[in-house]
Order: sequence, then C-alpha cells, then structure tokens
Amino acid sequence: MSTFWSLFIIVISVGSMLGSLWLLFSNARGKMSTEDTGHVWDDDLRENNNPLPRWWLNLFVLTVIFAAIYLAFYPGLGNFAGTLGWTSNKQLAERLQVVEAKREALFSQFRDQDPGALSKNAAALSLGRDVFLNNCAGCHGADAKGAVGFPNLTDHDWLYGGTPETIVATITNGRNGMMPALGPSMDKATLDAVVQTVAHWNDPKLDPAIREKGMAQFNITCMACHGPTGTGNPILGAPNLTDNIWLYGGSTDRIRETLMKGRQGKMPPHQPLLSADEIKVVAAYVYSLSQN
Amino acid sequence: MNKPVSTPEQTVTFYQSAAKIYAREVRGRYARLRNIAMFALLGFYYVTPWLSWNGTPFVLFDLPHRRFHVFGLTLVPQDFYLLTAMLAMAAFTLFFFTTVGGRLWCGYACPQTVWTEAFMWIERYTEGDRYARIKLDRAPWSAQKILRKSAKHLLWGMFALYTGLTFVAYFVPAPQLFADALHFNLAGWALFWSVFYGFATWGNAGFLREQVCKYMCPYARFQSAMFDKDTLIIAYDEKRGEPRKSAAKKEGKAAGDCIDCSICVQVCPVGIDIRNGLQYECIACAACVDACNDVMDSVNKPRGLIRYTSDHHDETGHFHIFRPRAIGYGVIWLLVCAGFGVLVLFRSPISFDVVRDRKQLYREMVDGGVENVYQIKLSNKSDQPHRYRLSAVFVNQHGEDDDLDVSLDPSEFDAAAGAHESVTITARADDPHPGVSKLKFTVQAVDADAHHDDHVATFLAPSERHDSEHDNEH
Amino acid sequence: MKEINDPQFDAADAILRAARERALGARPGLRMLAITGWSSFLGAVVLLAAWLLAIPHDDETIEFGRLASVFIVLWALAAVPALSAAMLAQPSPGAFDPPRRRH
Repeated sequence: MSTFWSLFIIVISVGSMLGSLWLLFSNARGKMSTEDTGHVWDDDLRENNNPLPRWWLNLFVLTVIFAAIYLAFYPGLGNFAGTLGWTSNKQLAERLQVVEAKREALFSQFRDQDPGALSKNAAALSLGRDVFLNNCAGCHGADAKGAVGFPNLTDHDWLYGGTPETIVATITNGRNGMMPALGPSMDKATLDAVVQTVAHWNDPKLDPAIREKGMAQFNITCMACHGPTGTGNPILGAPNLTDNIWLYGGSTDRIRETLMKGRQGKMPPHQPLLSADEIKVVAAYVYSLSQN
Repeated sequence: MNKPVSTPEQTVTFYQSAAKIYAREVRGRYARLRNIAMFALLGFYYVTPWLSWNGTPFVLFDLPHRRFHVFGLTLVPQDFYLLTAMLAMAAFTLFFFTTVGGRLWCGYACPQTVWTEAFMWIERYTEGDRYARIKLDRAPWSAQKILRKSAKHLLWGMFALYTGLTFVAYFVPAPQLFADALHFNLAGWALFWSVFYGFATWGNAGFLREQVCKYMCPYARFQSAMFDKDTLIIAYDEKRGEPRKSAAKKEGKAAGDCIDCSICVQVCPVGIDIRNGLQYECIACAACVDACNDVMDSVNKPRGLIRYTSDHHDETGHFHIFRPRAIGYGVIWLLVCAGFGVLVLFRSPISFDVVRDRKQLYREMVDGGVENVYQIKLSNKSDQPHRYRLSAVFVNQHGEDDDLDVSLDPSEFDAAAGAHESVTITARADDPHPGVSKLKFTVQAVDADAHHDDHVATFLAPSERHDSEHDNEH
Repeated sequence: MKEINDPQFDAADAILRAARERALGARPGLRMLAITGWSSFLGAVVLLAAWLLAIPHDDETIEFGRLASVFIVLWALAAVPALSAAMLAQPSPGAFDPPRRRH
C-alpha cells in the first residue's frame, strides 16, 4: 500500500494503544470517596465511582506489551514487514514442502523398479489403488470396468497397447481417440450394410449380400485405420471391431451413431498432476487388474 | 446456627497451634457398613486390573490404540455414543440416590472417603488413638516419635504407591506393569503416572482429607440442589436434646438428653458440630450417629439423639419417599439405564456401510445385464480377524424379491481385528427393473454367526430397455 | 469407649475452630489453586476420553508422550472455566453484611 495509508495505519494503531494507556493512568489518581457521583435516576438509582480492579489493569498493560512485541515481530503496522519476515505464502510453501517430503519418502521406495515388477508388489499395489481411486475412478469407475466412452481397464482389450510401459505413456501424455464421421459420406443402403457388418462381424447368420456390400465399403473407408482384418491398430488407437468389447456400445443404433457423428475420446495427460513415481505405481495397479 | 456451648477459655489456647483434625475412633452399625463398603470398593479397585475375559483384560483403557475394554465389552471410537450414555447413566444414578438418600456417595462410596478411612486406620495403627496422637504431636522429637511417624509414612507411602501402580494398571496391562515395577524397570510415562497418582493419594488421604470435600469437590457444591424436605439427612434432635446438660445447669432448667460430651464433634472427620444443624461440610458419614448412640446406651437413654431423618420426618414423623421429584429422577434413571442396556446389547461388532459409485448411473453389458459399482465400508470392531461373505437381493415394497438374480464381484473379503476395510464391489443384475430399485446388501462373517449386518442401497438401470432387434446378441 | 475423656481436649469450640482454620481454610490463594486445579483435572480426564474417541485419528497409534501433551493442554483449557467460576463464586467483601438502608 502507499506510504500515506501505511502511515495512517501506524499512527492510528500506535496512537490508540498509547492513548488508552494514558487515559487509564491519568485517571488512576483521584479522590477515593465512598460517595456516589451525585447523579440520580428513577428516584433512587445511584452511580458509584470505584477504582478498577488491579488485576484488570495489569491484564490491560500486559495486552499492550503483547501487542508491542507482536507488532515488532509480525506484519501489522502498515508496510512494516516485521523482524521475523513472516508471510502466509512462505508458511504455505514450508507446509507444502513437508507434504512433498512425505510423498517423496512414500513413492521413492518404488523408483528403481519397473511397473511390471511393481504389479506384483503388494505395497505398490495398495498405493496404486489409492492413487487410482483418487484420480482415475471418476471416469473409469471404482472397479476400473469403465463406462460408455471410458475404457474397461480390467479386460485384455487395449486400444493403444497393454504393456506396463505403454500404460505409463498413456497416463503421462494422454490419448486422443479420433474417429472421423464417415457416415454422412455414404448413401443409406451402404451405411446400413456397414453397420450390420460391423455389428455382426462374427455372426454366420448375417446375409452374405449385406456382408459383401458392407465389406466393400469397409475396405475403402475403414480399413486404413481399423486394419484389413478389422482387428484394430494400436498405433492409432483404432479399436478391434471383431470382438465383443465396445467402447461406445455395440448395438446397431450405437454403431450407426459412431459412424454418423464420429467419436472424440479424450484421455487427459496426467503428467503435471501426478509425478512420474505416482504414474508408475498407478500403472502397475492398472496392469495388475488384467493379470488374473 | 444455635449458640455454641463451650467449656472455659483456658482450653482454647492449648489447641490453637494444632491445626489438625484428630477424629476419634467410632464403632457402630454405620461404621460397620462403611467398613464393608470400604473393603468391597477397595477390593474391586485392586483386583479388577488383574482379571481377564476371553484373553483380553476385563477392564483396560488402551489409550494408544483407542480401544476401551470395559467389563468384557470392547469400545472403539465408533462407540463414542456409548461413553456419553455411560456418563449420563452415572450422573443420573448420582442424582437419583442423592435426592432419596442424601450424601450417600460422600459418606460411603467416594474414593476420597474410602482412602481417607484406610489411611486413618493406618494412622491409628502406628500412632495410636485420638489422645495418643494429640500427645505425640505435642511432644518434642524423640526416637519414639520418629519411629512412629516414619512407620506411618512408610506404610502410607507403600499403600499410595500400590494405589498409583494399580491406577496405571487400568491403562497398561497389570502383569507386565507390576513385573516391571518389582524389577525396578519401570520407565517413562508409566513411572511418572504411578508416582503422580501415588503422590496424589498420599497427599489427599494423608493430609488434605476433608479439604477436598470442603473446597475442591464439585459434587459437594451441587449435591444440595437435589435435596428437598424428604431427603435423608443426619440431624440432631433438638427438641429432645436441648437444653444441654451444662446449659440446663446454668439456667436451672430440666436437662434434655444431650449430656454435652462433645464426642459427636470428636468423631467428626470434617470437624463440624452436627448439633448446630445440617451444614455444607457434613459428608453424612454417620460417625456422630454411632458415637451418640453409644453414649446414649451408656447413660441408659434411648438411641437416636443424632440420627438419619428428613426435614419432613422431623415435623411429622413420616418418611415420604415416593414423591414427584424422587419418582421423576427414578423414572429418568431407569430409562437411561434401560437405554444404555439396549444400546450395549444391540451393538453390532460390525460397522457396515454401502456407498454407490456416483460417476455413472449404470453400466450396460453387451449381454443385456446391468452393473452398478459400490464401495463397501466395513469396520471389524471385534478382536479377531474375520472373513466376510457379501450377498445382495432386490427389495420392493412387499419385501425381498428373490426372482431377480444379482451377483457380486468380489463376494468375499477379509478384515483384520479393528480394521476398516474399503472394498470395491461390482453388482451385476441380469434383468433388473427399469429405473431405480432398492438393493439390500448383507454381510456375514463366515466364522461368526452373530456378526452380520445389512444395508439397503440404490440400484439403477436404464428406464427404457433397448428393443431386442437392435441389440447385438449372439 | 476406649478413649479417655479429658476436658482439655474435648472442647467442641476448639475442635471447630481448628477444623475451620486448618490447611486451605486459612490460605485463600492456595485454596483457589486447589479448587481450580482439581476440578479442571477432572474435566481434563473426561475431555481426554472425548478427544481420543470423538476426533478422527486415521488408525494411528497414539504415543503416550503425545497423550501427555494433549492432557496438559486440555487441563489448561479446563482451568479457564474452573477459575472463572471459582472467582465469580467468591463472596465480594461485605456480601454478608446486613443491608444498609438508603432513605
């Protein structure tokens, strides 16, 4: 604050303290009389004039002394920062350091091991579960079995690969699963055929004519990402269309919607939020979920 | 306050420097009752830390682990409400008995009284009866005096130390504590508190005595608030006793029954004259009752010149026990005791809660089933580890609905003794009702039939099921 | 009755006076200390049980050293109302004097 306001505060604070002390002590001496002040209210209500109790006076002086000491050490008088240089930001930083040290001690014990080994370490798994429940369960569910648009982490179907190192990369950098909307470029009959083919990929009862039509279109628009056999491409994150695991739903309605609107799956990067050690431990936990 | 009667002045100066109460020994019915109470209570105090129940100490306040073992019951922090109920029960017991019986607690049961009695007994044993004690105090220091005084303090000290150790034994298991003490291996806080309570016992029962009752005790301050004109008090029958023998002689009237022997004042542990009326300091120990009865016997007069009575009884000769105040206190007391009993009896060794995962409403499976995710929070409040089995069943307004299948994964888990477990459960229903349903979870300890509990949670399913034509079914 | 009856020692008056002026009766400062100390001690014991059971402690084992410092703090806290009540309960000088007439 500006010098004027700083001085304003100092003058008023110090002035009031000294002023009240002066007021008390200047009135300390006086005639000790047992008479009252002479005012009468309501015919017989009178006012005495007794001295303040000594203990009260002493406490008051103590509070002034306390105030003087406090204002010397801590900020309070305008711009004067106090001889201790205390700020609440510094206090916060110091407390954060304590927390960080504790976290460091907790996670550093796993620093030397790779996530694959950690996935068999009970202590690491317990810690990983805590990190998971705090950071991942919101989208992937507390049981890690996912929801519509959020993958099931307990199965063996991995969009980008399921090795522990890949999981670490997924968590650290995030993923952007982009499925373009290719449906509007197809006519209705072709679109129907593609939808039926994809939905009933392994079903022998599907009409061969529809399958042929569908596969023809598949090879033009879909094969580039989902592979010639439809088994997906981990580099692009294109799912395996031949299995029974559907991130956005496997009914024909949902597949049609996928084609018509496309999909934008977003896994946020957790790198600044979680430290590398935390990511390693939670990756080990996630990996362990699909291992039994 | 009546005018006190005294013997000539010269005896007063004799007494002035001896600021002590030398209570005369008393025998009688109430003294016997007090002795029985003393033995029973002290016995209970010293024996209890050594008792065990099912392997755990019978009474142990395990502060570091926050478990209080009380008469076979193990209280954990979740049972805090029981502590409150216990305190309420203790308070109302005190209030009820005070309003009916007066200061029964002070005279017979209070630890201050009980330990003072024991210490006075030791004092009488080492220093002699009242006159011997007074003479000893007045006498100059001699071998005899040193011997007697140090014997007294030695016995007091040993008794106090034993008391202090026993007090700590309510917090640290007794066998270990006393073994350490006997091998002079006691250290740290156990040593500090043993010495602290030993010193407090020695000071309170050896020196302070009635000062605690007169000045320091909160019960002494508020006990009279529970009194009414029917509460039992100890009183001197003025009508019968006055004028006293010495006063009557002076005034030339016929003497009442009081022969002014002042033995009632000599036996009083708090140093009051009950003939002056009921006073704040009187702890209703009934020593004066026994003493006066004894004297009345020896002068062939009827007993009861000082006796248990009530204001109302003094006026009309009736004891009126069942009056509104007493009945009111009694009813509340019974309710609180019954309430406490019910709480204890129906206390579950399990604390069980089911929290539904809120992020997604439900999870539709490819095969048409619906899953909901839950967090099971279970506290195993018992002393043994257990394995628990979980099951779930849908409930509607008519009760349980067994037709709808529900499976849980996982359905079994372990919990250590005193542990709080948080387990993630996936509940899967093949064909649930659309929308909101109620799912009752039951947890049952596999090896303990009594440990079970249930909790009703919500299960959500889509409110419109998909048309089967559009489903991707195989 | 085994004990001797000697009028020198029996005077009821003398016994009462000795009892009245004994120990704390003649030492008002010490009396205040004893009253405050004892009632706050009792209060601190109950507060300690409440602190142990009612405040969440996350499954940790509480060391006796920590318990002791908490107890001291609770004792000091309990001393505040105890001291206030004791001071307020003291009769003011002249409290038991016969009332003065004003008119």
